Amino acid sequence: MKRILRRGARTEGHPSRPLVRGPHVRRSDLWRAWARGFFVQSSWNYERMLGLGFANCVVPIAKRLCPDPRCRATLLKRHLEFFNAHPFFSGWAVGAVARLEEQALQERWPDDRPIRVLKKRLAGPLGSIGDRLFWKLWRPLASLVGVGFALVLGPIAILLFLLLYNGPIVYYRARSIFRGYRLGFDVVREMSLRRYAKQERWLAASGLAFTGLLAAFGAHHFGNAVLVGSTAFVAFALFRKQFSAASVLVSGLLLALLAGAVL
Amino acid sequence: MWEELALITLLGGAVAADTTASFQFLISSPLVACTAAGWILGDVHTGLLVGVLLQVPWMVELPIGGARFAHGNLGSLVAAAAAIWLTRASGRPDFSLWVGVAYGVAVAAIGGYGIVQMRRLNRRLLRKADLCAEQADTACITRANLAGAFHAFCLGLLLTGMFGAVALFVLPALVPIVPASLDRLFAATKPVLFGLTLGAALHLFWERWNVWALLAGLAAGFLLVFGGVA
Repeated sequence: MKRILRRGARTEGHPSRPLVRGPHVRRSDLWRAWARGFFVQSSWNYERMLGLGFANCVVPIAKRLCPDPRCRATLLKRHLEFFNAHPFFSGWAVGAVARLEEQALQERWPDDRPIRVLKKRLAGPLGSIGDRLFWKLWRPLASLVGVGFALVLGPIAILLFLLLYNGPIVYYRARSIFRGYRLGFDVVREMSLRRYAKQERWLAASGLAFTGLLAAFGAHHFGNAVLVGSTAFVAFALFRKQFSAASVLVSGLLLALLAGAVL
Repeated sequence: MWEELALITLLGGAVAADTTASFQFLISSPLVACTAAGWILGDVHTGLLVGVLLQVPWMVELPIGGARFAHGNLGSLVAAAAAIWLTRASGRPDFSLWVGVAYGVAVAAIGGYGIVQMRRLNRRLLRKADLCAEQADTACITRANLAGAFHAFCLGLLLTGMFGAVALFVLPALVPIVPASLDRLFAATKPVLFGLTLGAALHLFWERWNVWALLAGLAAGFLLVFGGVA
């Protein structure tokens, strides 16, 4: 983060070496925005989705840039509008918006259109990349590793699981805000599916490898490799057919009764 | 008994708040929450077992956008508590696990409906936040946002308290309906639920060009198991 800010210091408008007169965002403001990012989904609703949570993240920036209540009210109202993203990826938007709000005040932009356009353009990619990367891949991968550790080590594995899952995420949430601030509008270029394809491939391959590893451990631990394997196959087919987790679990429970009767 | 129910209910509030509304540190995930429930109720082994078996299957439902999803975390917590209380009352672990998980799935489905209602309720916070922004009151915006996390916490308290009470006081009374002679029917519950974990993982990670990774993992696993590590 320091490295990013040091690089940022060479650019216009950074607090440590201001080249343009006007209000500046400080590093502490970005850290405050980061801390508020843990509550970005608190007030999620069907009307504006992350809108209120995003405005809450921008509060430290608004306080810093707008000592005048009228300016602050305009800024806050702007960010209370509809916004949606993956919660861990929303930091990119918060950082970039901080930079643009700063520039808008320093350079006296006639309107706020660029800021609205940036948020609109970021919402889609931030949601889709984040959902794939974190919800579909990283969370299940960490869970598989946690389950594997739990089978071997017992309850102590919980701590390892929490560290493994949260360490990279806490770091990533901070990095995204600081890098978003550094890039400003250019953050849009950073958000392409192709840029994250390598990480996705790597996570998917690791996930499958751990699934194989866990299959061997689980079959050994629970003692019925044929039943475990055949249930896995049936569940895979049901999930592929878009059955919900609840219905697959109910099917599994019925299958367990059937297996119990037969075996 | 009441103390146990109170503690599990509080844990349910924390689980619901961590699920989507705040932090999302996965303290709410079945692996952690069920083990914590086991620790509170004095049976860490059963808690951990329920957590291991339910951790991955619920992850297939992604909490994205406006998608409706079951409250798998809360359902798993109630499942673990129910399984432990039933085991204590009946001394039949496999039967208790089966009933606990079935009950947890029902609670998760009802919890999903609760999430939808909570998100509708959150819309009211927007009106308040609009007024706060009008007055440039930043503390008021923070309070409005945190009220959403409080809604989630209350939803968790309500659902866990209600269904926890049923699991503690009603389910054990129904145990004699299923005679102990039928217990062998439930003996396959653990391997089948573990199979669901693998099926869910395959679904999430499956790419045809990645089969080599699955085979490599299987080979490594069998080597480790037969090598005596597991």
